[in-house]
Formats: sequence, C-alpha cells, structure tokens
Amino acid sequence: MGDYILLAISCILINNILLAQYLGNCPFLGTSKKMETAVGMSMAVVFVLVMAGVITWIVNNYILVKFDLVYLRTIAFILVIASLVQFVEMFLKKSIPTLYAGLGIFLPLITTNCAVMGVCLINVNEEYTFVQALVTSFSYAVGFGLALILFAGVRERIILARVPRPLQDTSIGLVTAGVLSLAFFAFKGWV
Amino acid sequence: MSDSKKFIVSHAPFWHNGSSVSERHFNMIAAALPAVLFGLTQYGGPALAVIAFSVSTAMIWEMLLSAAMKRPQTVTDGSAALIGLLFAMLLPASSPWWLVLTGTFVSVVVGKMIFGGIGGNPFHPALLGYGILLVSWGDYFDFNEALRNYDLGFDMLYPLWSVKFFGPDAVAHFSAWDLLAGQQIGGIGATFGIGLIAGGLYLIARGFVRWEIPASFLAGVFVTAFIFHAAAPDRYAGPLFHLFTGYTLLGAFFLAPEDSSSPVNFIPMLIYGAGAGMLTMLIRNIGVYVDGVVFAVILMNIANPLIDKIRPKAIGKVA
Repeated sequence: MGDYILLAISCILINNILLAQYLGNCPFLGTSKKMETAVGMSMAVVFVLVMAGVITWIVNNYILVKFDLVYLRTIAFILVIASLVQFVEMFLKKSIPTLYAGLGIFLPLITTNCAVMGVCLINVNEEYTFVQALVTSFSYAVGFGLALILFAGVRERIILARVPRPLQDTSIGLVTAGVLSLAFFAFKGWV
Repeated sequence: MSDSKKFIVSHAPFWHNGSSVSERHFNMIAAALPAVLFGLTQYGGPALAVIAFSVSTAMIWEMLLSAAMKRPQTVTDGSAALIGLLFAMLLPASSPWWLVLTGTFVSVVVGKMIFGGIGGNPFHPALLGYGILLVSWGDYFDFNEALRNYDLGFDMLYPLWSVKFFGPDAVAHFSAWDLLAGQQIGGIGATFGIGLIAGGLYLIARGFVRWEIPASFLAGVFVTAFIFHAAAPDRYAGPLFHLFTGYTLLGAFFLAPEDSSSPVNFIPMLIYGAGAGMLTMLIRNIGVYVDGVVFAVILMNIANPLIDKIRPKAIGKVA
C-alpha cells in the first residue's frame, strides 16, 4: 500500500504530467480561462485517462504482446482513446450541455491530448503491473487537474490586471505556466 | 470590536490621512534596514555593492519598461526599490554583477511589469527572480562556497546545509540566541533575526502587514518541524533551529505578506501562512533544496486565488 501512495505522490507532484513532463499543454492553455471549464476539463481527463490507462494496459498485455503485434501499439492506443473520447462527448452532450458547450473544441481534442497517450505509453514502458497502471493513470489525471485548476485560479486574476497588449491572453498564460513549472521544482526529491 | 461601528460614516468634507503606495513601500524599506545594515557590517564592501546594484538596476528596469509600455512612470513609488532590496537580501554577498542584473530583470520585468505593474503580480517578484536564478545557477547560492573567503569568528558553514547533510548533531553548537543575533552565514539581509523581527513588528504595528500571515507562517514552520523532530530526533533538527535559520524570518515578515500575491480575508490568510510554513519544512526536510522558503511561498502564491475564494457571506444574501 505504501508503495502505491508513493507512486501516486510521485505522479501527482514530482512528475506532474503538465508541469514536469510538459505533456498536454494545449488544453492547459485553452481551458484555463474560466474556473468552470477548467474543472470540467479536469473531470473529463480523469475519466478518460483512467479508462484509457486500464484498457490500453489490457490491450497491450493480452492482445499485442500475446500475438506478437507490438508494432501496432501506437495505432491500437489511438483507437482506444478516440473511441473513449467519443463516448464521453456523447455523454456530456446529452447530460451536461452547458459543460459541453464550455469545453467546445477541447473535448474532441482529448483524442489528441498528448497527456493521455503519454500516460498510456509510460505505463507500458515502465512495465507496470495492472494495479500500478491504474494508480498511475488516476494520479497523473489528478495531477493534470490540480495544475489546471491552480492555473485557472491565477489566470482569472490576470485577466483583471493591466497586462500590456502584446502579452495579453496566451502569451502571459505561457509565462505564468513557466512560473508554475518552476514552483513545482520544489517537490524534487520528495519520494 | 463591534461590527456596527464599521458602518458609521460621518459627513463630508474628508481629510486625507496621508497614506499612499509610496509611503507603504518606504516604510517596508525602513523596516528592512536593521537587517540590511547588520549584513553590511558583517560582509562589508561586496554586500554594499550587491545591494546598491540590485536596487538601482531594479529601478532602471522599471523605468525602461514604463517607458516602453508608454505608461506613467511608477518608479518613484518605491516598489521597484523594495523589490531590489528584498532580492539583494536573499543573495550571498559574493554574487557576481551579472547574477544580480539577471535577477532584478526577472524580478521586475517578468515578475511585475508584464503582469500589469504594481498590484497585478500574481507572485512575489523578488522570489520569482531568486527561484529562476536558483534553478539556473545553483552553484552561486551555495553559501559555504560563496562565502569561503570570510572569517567572521563563528562557524562558517551554512546551518541548513549542515543539518541537511550531517544531521542535527552538526548544528548542536548553534544556540537559538546566537542564531537570532546573526551568528550564522546566509543571505545579506537574512541572518539577523532580531532586526527582522523588530522590522516585522514595526510593519504589523503600523498596519502595513497583517499579523495573521507572519504568525501562521511561523506556526506552520514550528509545528511541522516539531512533528519531524519528535518522529526522528536524530535526523531532523528541532523547531527553534528552523525558525531562526535560513530565510524563515525574512519570509514570514517580508516575503509571504506581499500585497497582491497574498489573501485578504481572515481564514485564507491563516491557511496561506500555515501552508507556506508547512511546505517550507517539507522541502527542507525531504526535498533536494537546502532552504524551502522561496519555493514554498511561490507555491502558496499560486494557490492564493483559490484559497481566497473562502470569503464571508455577503450581508443579506440568501443561500
């Protein structure tokens, strides 16, 4: 149990998928202007990432490796992730239309969210067991959500500040994201 | 104090009580002076050079940026000078000139001006400059190495470094009083505990700094250090040692309560301070960095907008 907790802390804080591995930056910048969208995006990513992590692990170990089809890994993973996102999209459109509208283009973009694909590939490369893969997928997603929500909080304030025109919006967002990444250096060596 | 008194407003005309942005900053500079002067007597010329260069370049960056952004000159309000001074207080006396120049550029330009100048910065500017330099040129912040040509008549090893790599026994000879009186090496303006406390109390008494943040910061450091020490006394130093070493006092009174990057409500201020204190101790005890104040305060700056959402209910609002 202790190992799993350490693994989770490592994935959430030290190897944060956004701020330490720099994966998934498009939704990070795109959905962080409003707290509501940021929270929605975090939830969507948690759901997609946990499902994708589990299913790709099963696909990898029981289909690809077993039938010696490892060279199809990328395409197989993309297929799994794309269908999952489609499923989430239909679900949100039906049940939470406001959130669906708020997420806009970024929901289909989870398909090409490098964080999701990245975590699935990390799980395979590190040769995690099933439970470990479950824990890492969930905690990477939580780390994604944590960074995104913190960033959205800061950005909501920046919108109110008198930022010079050439730096408005995404430029100042990138500067702020850099500072967040710098601050996450603090967690180095915690595990 | 009864709340009803707050709502009594007498008739116009009103008299301005003279408070202003620049008054605030000049008072903070004055409050920092005892610690700075002590640093100057210890480290002499090089320290004076670092401080003078840091303050002047910070002001020049602000002038240049104000001109480039075609906005009114704000350099006279003392904010840039304060940032430069606080930044210099964190540095070792032997810092080369380009380090100071880069640091004040990052502090003033990236940390403050591009976020819209005074009041808009989401992080403490001086800490941002320090953090970036620490990650880029960590060697210059190794106080043992940086101050090796000094012999001030006490143990010339950085206490936090000793405790990190050799355990609490290596620092057993530091008494709490010696640490408070500045008998330790460190940043130019960070070692003289008595001066920092006096300056901080002055700021609190004048109302420039609310007491909640320093108090909860120090409490957070104390309690976390106490828990670590109680769990493994042979590996972690006691709470008093951690209160009086490194940047703890400077952070509590001057860095954490920065105007625009700290919360404004009562409970958020307590959470903010205590969180920064706890993170400081976690970084010192289990992280790779020797001192954690800088990163801890930046992390809490980031969390500040979220913490500050805890606010009292609007009067008369239903549910």
